[in-house]
Amino acid sequence: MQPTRQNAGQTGGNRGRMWRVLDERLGLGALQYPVPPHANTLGYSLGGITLTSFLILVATGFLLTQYYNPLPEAANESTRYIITTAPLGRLVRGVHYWAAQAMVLAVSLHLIRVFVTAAYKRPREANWLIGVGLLALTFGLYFSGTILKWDQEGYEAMLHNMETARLLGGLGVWFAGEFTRSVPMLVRLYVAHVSILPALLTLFVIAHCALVKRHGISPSPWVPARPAHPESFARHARHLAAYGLVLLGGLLALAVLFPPGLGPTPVEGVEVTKPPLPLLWLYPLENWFGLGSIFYATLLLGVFLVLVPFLDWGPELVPRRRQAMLAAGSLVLAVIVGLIAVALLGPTAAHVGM
Amino acid sequence: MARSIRNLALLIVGIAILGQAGSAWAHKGEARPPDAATAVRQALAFLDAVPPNFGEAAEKAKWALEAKDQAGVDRGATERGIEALRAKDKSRARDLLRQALAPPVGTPMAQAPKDIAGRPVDHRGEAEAHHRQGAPLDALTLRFEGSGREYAILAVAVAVVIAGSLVLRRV
Repeated sequence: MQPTRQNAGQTGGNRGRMWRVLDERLGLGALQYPVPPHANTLGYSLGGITLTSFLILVATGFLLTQYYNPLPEAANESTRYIITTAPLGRLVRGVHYWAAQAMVLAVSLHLIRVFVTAAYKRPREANWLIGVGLLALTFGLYFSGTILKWDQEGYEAMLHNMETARLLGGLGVWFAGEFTRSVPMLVRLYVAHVSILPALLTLFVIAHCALVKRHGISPSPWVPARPAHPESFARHARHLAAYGLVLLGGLLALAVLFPPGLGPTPVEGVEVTKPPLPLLWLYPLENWFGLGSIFYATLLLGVFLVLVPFLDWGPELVPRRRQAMLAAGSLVLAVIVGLIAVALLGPTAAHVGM
Repeated sequence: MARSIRNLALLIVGIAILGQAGSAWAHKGEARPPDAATAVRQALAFLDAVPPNFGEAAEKAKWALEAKDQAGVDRGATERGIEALRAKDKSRARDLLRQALAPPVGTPMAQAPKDIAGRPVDHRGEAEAHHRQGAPLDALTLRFEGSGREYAILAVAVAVVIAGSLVLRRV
């Protein structure tokens, strides 16, 4: 192991003895591997902030599951119970809601940072693909969470899920209502939200982190490849914990200042809401090209992201030498932002064959 | 650079125009609900939309009057609700349509919901499983109320942010 500032300071005294005791039993020394100093900047901590948001979501989700009833006839009212009656329910739900927004924002910014700094290049192609999977799982969790509150917006989101699955035929069978007639779709989505998707996300996170450790934190295009004084991962972890504290405080404040409400109980046969902001870019496409465009646009974006490391194969990291790839990425981002603007300005419309 | 920005702006404007055109096609294919109670609830949903859609709400309320199954709906209140919708009086229309779903004693009730535990599940009916008999529950709008408890949580939030910032400075 290379010497670092951190382990150099842990050789003597009670602290040193304590460290050796713990290290012998828990293998904490494995966390002392060197990382470059730029790893502690905010841009290179966005992955850690995403993970912190996920941990907050898991913790608050545990509490919410104690009061939430996923049966269609009770879901909306149990959400009202959480807000109005359950101890700290309004606060916990508020933190859960804002942590979900934070996770979507952080994972998106993390992806943009990795893209701009070309951190997907050899030997990190596989980790980029795992990251794309994590992005998909994050949005899957966000989408299913939107449905669970079971107001008009949630109900319409579920119909979109089922109708898109129906359009896909055999490919979408697992997401279709016809897959099983013994369990309501809402309950199945609840199971996906609280067990299947978090379990998959956890596995992907483990693989993602293992590969980060294996390859090291990616170099910055703007600093020397081999820093004279590398930091230790343990110090980086303390940075992440500090960012996590700031995030937690911010989420608490948001939950109090802007508590998320709940829509009216759903009515079938109408479509009167728009999706939440992270999913809003799909809404105009649905207006123009129909329901199937949700799937095809998402697939297209996914294919683009998967191809990124294979299209930008050279060794260059500096952005000005990768103009074609950055132009393509900027165009994709501009289209998404433009579509969101269109959706915000346009009227609501019905799509799901009422 | 200026040219790129101009092209991007043109693209966004183009998409916006298409968006307005496209949304006009999207209302095709809406089927009339089989019963008046569902139609009134649909009218309420359009009224609660942001922004409220008075035209669609009035259309749904008219469907309610024309539906074969009138169980569970007060026709008089529905008719007055339509007048309020035409006058774009949201509050009055809302009250009347909700009143229309809470008919006087003796009016025949709407069909009971299906038992989702024992019978094949009709997923499209999930929304109605419990709320078929009356008006939908209102949206729950929350805001900062300035209570002592909220200020206490805000104080904790600020303390946590400061603690995190101090740790960031130290490490």
